[in-house]
Amino acid sequence: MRNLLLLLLKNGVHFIFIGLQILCFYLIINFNNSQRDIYFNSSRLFVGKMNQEVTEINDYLKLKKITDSLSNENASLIQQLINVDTETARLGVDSNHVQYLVSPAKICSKTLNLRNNYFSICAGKRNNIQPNMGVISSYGVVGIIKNVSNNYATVLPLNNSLSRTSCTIKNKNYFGNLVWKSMNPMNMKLEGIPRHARIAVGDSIVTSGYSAIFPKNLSIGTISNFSFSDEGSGNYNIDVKMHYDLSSIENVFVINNTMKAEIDSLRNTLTNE
Amino acid sequence: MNKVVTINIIRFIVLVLLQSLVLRRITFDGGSFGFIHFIVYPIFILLLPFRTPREIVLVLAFIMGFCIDLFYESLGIHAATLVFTAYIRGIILKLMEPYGGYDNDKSPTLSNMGPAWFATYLGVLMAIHTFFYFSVEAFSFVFIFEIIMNTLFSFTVSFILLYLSQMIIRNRI
Repeated sequence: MRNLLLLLLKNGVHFIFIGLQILCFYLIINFNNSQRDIYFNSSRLFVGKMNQEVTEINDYLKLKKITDSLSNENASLIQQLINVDTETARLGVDSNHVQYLVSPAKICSKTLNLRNNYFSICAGKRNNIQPNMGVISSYGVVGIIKNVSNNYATVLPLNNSLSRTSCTIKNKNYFGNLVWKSMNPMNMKLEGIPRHARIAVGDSIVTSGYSAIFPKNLSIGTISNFSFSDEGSGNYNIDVKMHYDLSSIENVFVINNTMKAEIDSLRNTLTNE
Repeated sequence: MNKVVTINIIRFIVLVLLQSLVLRRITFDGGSFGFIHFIVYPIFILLLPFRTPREIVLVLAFIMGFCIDLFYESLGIHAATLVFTAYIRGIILKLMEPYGGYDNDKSPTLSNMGPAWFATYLGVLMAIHTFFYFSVEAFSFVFIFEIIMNTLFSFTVSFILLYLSQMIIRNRI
């Protein structure tokens, strides 16, 4: 208290000056119309600007939450969309049965320039991810889960020479395997379409649903070029242009086919006979 | 002592009346001459004796500015300007203190301090005063052109007027 008084006494001039100036500006703003208008307009501008900045910072801080909730929402929407198409739903056998469960995940690392590329996603056993589940993005197919640890999983993506994905030409019931032979992640090849099939450049390539990994009708690309193979095989040599660039994908969805075990065991009995 | 107080009271009244009844009505029309305003009342603060405490100078400045504001119907503008000038006066006096210090009984007049010192003192403070006054009047630096033109013209005429008046009215106190 004593120090405060000393400070006031020592610097009295400055305090009186500041006090008088505040009083003067109070008078100016309260008793002069044009100055008052300018003052209120400017302060409104300033406060508005400040509020806007604070809102923007808040939005930025909320961004992670928002993306998480958005990818959850996307996952549930994709799940609904996929399951509308499944046989059980179509036949009305069990309307509450959900064949494909979709859960969101993030790609945490990937290689792109190798012959055999791998992606890894930041989700593992804790998120109920098992090997041989399908991985898709909002654009289309990404790959298949290969190995799973507690918190991570590796994905065998389309741009790996080991990747085989069962595909059909949309609305024509021929099916073949989609493989990757070039080094360009946008160009794939479709093998196993017989010569008598009537195909055209621009036909859509979608998943067949036969592998029990991916549901039917997930889009992949279009036919960009086709020719007859030289070696006298009975198949076309089809170039497929992908709709999307695998190298730019960040958010993916893992598809869990709840009936896969059943389908696989049935198939196993067939091969064992 | 009493004489100084009397002279300053008379100066106060004369300057307030001169500024608000006579000089306020002198305006020029047309072109750049419209920017000319005569501002003489700050000379009251400038001529206060050296020994006047700075707090008193500030309070006197506020009272005088307030009186002029009542005539100009611009409450606070002249007061704010004159208080600012009075505050700067203390700093300028400290900066311009001659070797050996001031004679505390005297005032900073032309005849006491000499033409060079007085011209600098008057010039600096009047320039600050006019610039601050027109800035506060416009209240926004959007009008920077008007502020600068008003400052240049008004400063020039007011400076000449005040310097001449000091040459005519020789005040040795």
